[in-house]
Amino acid sequence: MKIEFKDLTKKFGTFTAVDKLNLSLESGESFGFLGPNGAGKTTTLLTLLGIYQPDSGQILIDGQPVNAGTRRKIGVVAEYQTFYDEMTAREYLDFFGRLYQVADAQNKAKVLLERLQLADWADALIGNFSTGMKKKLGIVRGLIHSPELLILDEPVSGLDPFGIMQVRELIQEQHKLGTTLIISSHVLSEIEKTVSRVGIISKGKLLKEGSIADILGGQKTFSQWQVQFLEFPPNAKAALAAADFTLNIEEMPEQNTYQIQANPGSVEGGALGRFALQHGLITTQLHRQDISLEAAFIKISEESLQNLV
Amino acid sequence: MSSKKILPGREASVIASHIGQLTWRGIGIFIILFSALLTGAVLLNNSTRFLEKNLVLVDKEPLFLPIYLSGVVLSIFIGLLASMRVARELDKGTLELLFYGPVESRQYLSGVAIGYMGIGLASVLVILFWAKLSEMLLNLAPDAKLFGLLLSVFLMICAFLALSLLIAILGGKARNAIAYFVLAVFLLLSFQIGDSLLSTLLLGGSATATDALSLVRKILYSVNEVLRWLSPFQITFEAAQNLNHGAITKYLIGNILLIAETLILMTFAILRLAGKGVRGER
Ligand SMILES: Nc1ncnc2c1ncn2[C@@H]1O[C@H](COP(=O)(O)OP(=O)(O)OP(=O)(O)O)[C@@H](O)[C@H]1O
Ligand SMILES: [Mg+2]
Repeated sequence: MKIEFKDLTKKFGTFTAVDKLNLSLESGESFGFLGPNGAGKTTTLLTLLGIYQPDSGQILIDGQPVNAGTRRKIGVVAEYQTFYDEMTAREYLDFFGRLYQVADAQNKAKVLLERLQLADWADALIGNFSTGMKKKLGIVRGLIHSPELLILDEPVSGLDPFGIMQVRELIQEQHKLGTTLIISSHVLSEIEKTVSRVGIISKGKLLKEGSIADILGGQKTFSQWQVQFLEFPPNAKAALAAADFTLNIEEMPEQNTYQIQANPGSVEGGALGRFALQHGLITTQLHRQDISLEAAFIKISEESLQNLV
Repeated sequence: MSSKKILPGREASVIASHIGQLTWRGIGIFIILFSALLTGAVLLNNSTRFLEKNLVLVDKEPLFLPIYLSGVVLSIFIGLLASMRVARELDKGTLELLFYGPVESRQYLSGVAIGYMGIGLASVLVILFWAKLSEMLLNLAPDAKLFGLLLSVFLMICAFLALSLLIAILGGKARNAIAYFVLAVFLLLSFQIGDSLLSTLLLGGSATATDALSLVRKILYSVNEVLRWLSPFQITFEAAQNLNHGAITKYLIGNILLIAETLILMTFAILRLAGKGVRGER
């Protein structure tokens, strides 16, 4: 699905929530909206769905304004999940399956529920679901009709790390199958892992837009690894510091952990583990955080703030 | 415009069966059927006593009033359920979720209306059942007018349902919707009951008829002159009376009025929802 935002403006009373937004997404692309609270991400997405009418400008989907026909091909995971509490998960998905005229809805529901570890809850009332379970069910609902465009507004909020991983894999899989993705989030690492292009939006304005590399241009970036070892031999630090990927290393003896800063992409988790093993270290936990995009995001937001002052 | 565009189509039927499922699940259906039966039983009991005392019944139709009143009670119950469902869906945001997909206000509201009309039809069939039963028990001659009366009662349920849906859309929030709903029921019924009560009182003898009372009666009468064309309760009451008197054309006009009212109110509700949107801004 090709999507074009043309000079999109949406006001609430006199307040401008989205301000002359221009953006064009090719079919099969993955795009991330990044921006602070109240930036206008949700408003933009809801206008795309026709829930809000633009005050000026327009949104075209495959060259057409949005209508019931195009909405049938869109899957939505909303920011806030609301359900019919008196239905079971299975009934709920069956209802949406019939609404979207999905031929094998029951089968698809079963497969997706299993993927997200909800299969055992298929016949439980949704009212008894936890926040994270509801979020997952919302994701299953968004995928039940194999949409051509998937709109995800904060898809991983409320999920535990394992759930985040499962959902991320599911989304990446959909994207590989050709689904166009639009994700809005302030969890930057999440966006970075799933999309190829990001737009930074603040106060309704699209401040910067481009590939992640573009956005990061000129920004000092690094990946930060936290590696926890079974034991903490005294010579370990020297060995890790000597490694060619290491920019900087810090010791956190209480947690048996080293914090290693590396150039992005210079080392993968597996390689790091093997390197450690060669030096007699057994890795118990490995965690990477890319603070690059985060830094860029904060910097761009700050710059725009200063421009406004 | 093709007929596909005018008819709500598949989405509406999916929503209708969804409504059926949820109402069946909730206590809604029990309340409806129970109240139909209870009202029927109580009024049947009264009719029997009338018969026993050999009093002359109005229009010589002992089942007329019980059936009509059961219909009113049913209309109010079904209308309340429908209006609460729509207002709650608006409140909670489940409606917004439907609108993300292929559903639009026309499909949604016609789906809800069809769903509750199905429930109304089921309840009317329950009334038919006990009406037939009481015919047997009271040794009344089977009367074909019964079906005509039940048709009008069903149309009354439909018209009041449409009014309730409009109320829910106008109210927006469940709390507002319930207040408007009670107000509407109160207005429609109080004028109707007040008018007939006072007219009986005034007919009963001039001794109790003060000037003030006849003024009130005049006001009620003129309000009722308007309401008899608008209130589903009043239209049905008169249609049923016309049926009893054999004024078939007038009876049919009453039914047509009810159908027209249903369609007009539904159209208003659909346009209003489409206009203000599920998020209720502007
Ligand atoms: N229905 C509404 N009526 C009035 N103002 C609104 C409405 N919806 C959003 N806004 C305002 O528009 C602005 C943008 O809101 P929006 O929900 O799009 O932000 P967001 O980028 O999604 O933020 P978050 O990250 O917190 O979800 C906010 O200032 C909000 O107060
Ligand atoms: Mg938001």
